Amino acid sequence: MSILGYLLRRALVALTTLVVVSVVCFLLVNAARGDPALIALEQSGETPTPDLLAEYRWQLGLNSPLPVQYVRWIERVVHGDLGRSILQRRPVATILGERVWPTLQLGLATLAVSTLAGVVLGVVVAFSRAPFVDVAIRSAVVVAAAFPSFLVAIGLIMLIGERLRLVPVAGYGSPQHLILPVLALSIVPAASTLRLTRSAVRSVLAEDFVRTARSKGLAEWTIAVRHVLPSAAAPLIASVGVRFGQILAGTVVIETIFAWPGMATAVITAISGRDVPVIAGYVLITGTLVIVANFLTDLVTRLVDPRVAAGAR
Amino acid sequence: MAYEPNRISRRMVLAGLAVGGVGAIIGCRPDERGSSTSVLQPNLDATLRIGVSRDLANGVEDPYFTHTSLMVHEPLIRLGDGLEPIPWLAERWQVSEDGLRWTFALRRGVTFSDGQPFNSAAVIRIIERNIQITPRTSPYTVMDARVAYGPIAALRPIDDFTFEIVHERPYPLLEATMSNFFSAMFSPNSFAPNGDFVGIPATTGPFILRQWERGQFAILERNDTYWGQRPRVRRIEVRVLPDPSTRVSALRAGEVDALVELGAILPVEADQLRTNPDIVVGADPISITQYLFFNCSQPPFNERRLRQAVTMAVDREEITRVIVRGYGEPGKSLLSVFSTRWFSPKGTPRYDPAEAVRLARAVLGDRRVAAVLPYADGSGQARPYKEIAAVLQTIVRPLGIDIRLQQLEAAALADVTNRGEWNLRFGQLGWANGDPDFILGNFLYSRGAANTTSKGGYRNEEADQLVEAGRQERDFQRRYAIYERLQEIAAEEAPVFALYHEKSAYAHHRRIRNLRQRLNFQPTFDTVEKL
Repeated sequence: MSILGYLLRRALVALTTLVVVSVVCFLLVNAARGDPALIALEQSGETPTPDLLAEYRWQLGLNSPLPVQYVRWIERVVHGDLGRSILQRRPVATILGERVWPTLQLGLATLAVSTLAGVVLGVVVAFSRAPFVDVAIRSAVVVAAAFPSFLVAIGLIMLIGERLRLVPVAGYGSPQHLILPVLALSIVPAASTLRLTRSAVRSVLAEDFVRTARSKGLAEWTIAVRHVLPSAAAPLIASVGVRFGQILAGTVVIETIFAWPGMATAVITAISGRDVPVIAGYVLITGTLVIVANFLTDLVTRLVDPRVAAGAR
Repeated sequence: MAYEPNRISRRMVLAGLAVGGVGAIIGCRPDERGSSTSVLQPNLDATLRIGVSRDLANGVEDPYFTHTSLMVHEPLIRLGDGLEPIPWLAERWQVSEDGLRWTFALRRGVTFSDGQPFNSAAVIRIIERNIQITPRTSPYTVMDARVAYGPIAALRPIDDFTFEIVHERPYPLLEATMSNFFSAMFSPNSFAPNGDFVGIPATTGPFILRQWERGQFAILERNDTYWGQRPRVRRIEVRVLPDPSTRVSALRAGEVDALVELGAILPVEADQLRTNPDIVVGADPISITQYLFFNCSQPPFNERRLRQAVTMAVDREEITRVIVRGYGEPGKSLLSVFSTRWFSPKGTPRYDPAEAVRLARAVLGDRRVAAVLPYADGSGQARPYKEIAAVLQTIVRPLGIDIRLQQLEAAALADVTNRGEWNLRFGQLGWANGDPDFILGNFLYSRGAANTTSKGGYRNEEADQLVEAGRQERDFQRRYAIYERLQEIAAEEAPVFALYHEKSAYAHHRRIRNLRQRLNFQPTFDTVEKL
């Protein structure tokens, strides 16, 4: 298959996925108990009268049947309009637009840190001939990854932010503010990357060409960098797309704890307020980000490892 | 009838005495350890850094842009320390004999921060804008001009500093309903044609909102041309920190000087902070009361004696002391005990567990009945619903009532409530305008929101007549009698009762002075000092 054909096929799959995801999301949110008009009016803690509730429901167009609401929403999306938030009354594109970059910053920084840490430690463990190093690093990582990220976050805040006062405990705006949330988010993906790297490198180490390289007397680091890593890279790169999706999901809790003004905090409020336009917009944007990430990793894998392209044929 | 700010009735004095004990303990006063700070002079150029739990600025679509806590905008009428209406940007007002015409005299010499004069034309423009955008939701309070201003027939200036509102029929609640948010003043240049703000609005308050980012911060600067007493700090940086433990860490790490405003500190964390010698912890009463409602439209609580039995079995003192950790006052009436103006001790239900069992036996005999109590986990907002629900489940078992607890997330709970799929439910209400109709007209009137939207189903002809009479009555003494009787009916019939009246905890470093919270959770930014 030509690269153009490949791109077209992937774009078609991505579009279908987004439509399916948006329908499922729309149905799920509407199936959940809760009247968005009532919740919006009760935001301040006061119960509205039935007349006010009816008037507001009419204003929001919530009396229309669900399929009609969905079709209206899709029509707007096609024209580049994600609608208006029921709770905030602001355009969804504005609400999420001002929060995409903070979430991306957090996600990409976490992806970079966790990938780097996972690959380096994975290679060290794979090359280590001392069983103690392998067991110690893997055990430490498994234990660390077993803690929920919110607990890790609170621990980091108390130790590094509150006691040592090395970095701000929360907030947004400088590289220092990234340190604690990225650390809290990185542990689980780093552990996964470590395990994957170790297994991929170990399997490459058993190959004949590595034995040949060693018999030539090459240094271990040269073998690792020039021969082993390029061969083991394909599954690692392929996993990055999936990992990015997992990281985005993890930001939901972390953004709240660290007062990080990303999309997750907006969507938590939207979910508890049954704010369908914001939830649907969030799913659409994160879905697109994950699809693009997967697409890029597939593309890079294809370029790095000719066997993948050959397999596609 | 002219407004009389200092009118004190005999009943008010009696009510005041009845809750006098409360006054003594209201507000665990801030610790006074480390009094050495008192010899230091306040820095009038200081920047105060505050941590809060929620956004206090909400943008151009919000009917008010900011919460009153930021002291950026000011109302014509504000609520005093007892939730009584007091003149602010309106210096005085009077209503005609027929009750149809309200005339307001405005404070002179006030200008908005954009230089525009504050006058009748500005006020009329703002009221017209509020009518235009009604209903407009807000996390602070829904803008509903019909409630705020009543049935307006005409709205007109008399001169530059006097204007009048003419009603189609008498609307005696106006001075209460117009208070605070509903008469917040903004420069007429602040609005777009659709009623939204065009940007940060120009206002008259002691602070000017200079900059803000949603979900992150709001920066206030002292309004050096303020008409009243100028603030004692130059700048306030308000940081939004939604997570309770992160807020406390920010205080301990010195990143903020204080945690204040609604829900700033959970009771358990306030108790922990008290052990820190560098931090002062206080708790002041606020206008929010936590209630327990009965579904009066279906068994088992369509039976009055069973409602009374549950009410008598609940030890509100113990709940407040143990579960609420003392951050409240045991429920004394549907109207907050912290506002002595309308509170009546006649509205206090009796605690009598033996009588509760006798009443329940008289209704049920040896039968047992089931009741559903749905609730949301309010732990993040310092509301221990889960713990109170478990206690209720235990204490009503001897009455022959088996409560099934149903923990739901907030939106699902609202839905369950709205459909009437409950027998007991928790509810909270902040007494936003200080008028008793706001609470009693909601809870005891058969057409009130608690009985219609929330399906409480309580109906009592006398209560209905009293609520309707209270809405028309203009004489304070006669109104007090009406609302005293309504509180008494609530205690007798128990469609709902108050569990506790809330106090809100706050904490600050020792270098901060004069920081408290008012009943409407407004921090005293106007008097706070930093040493």
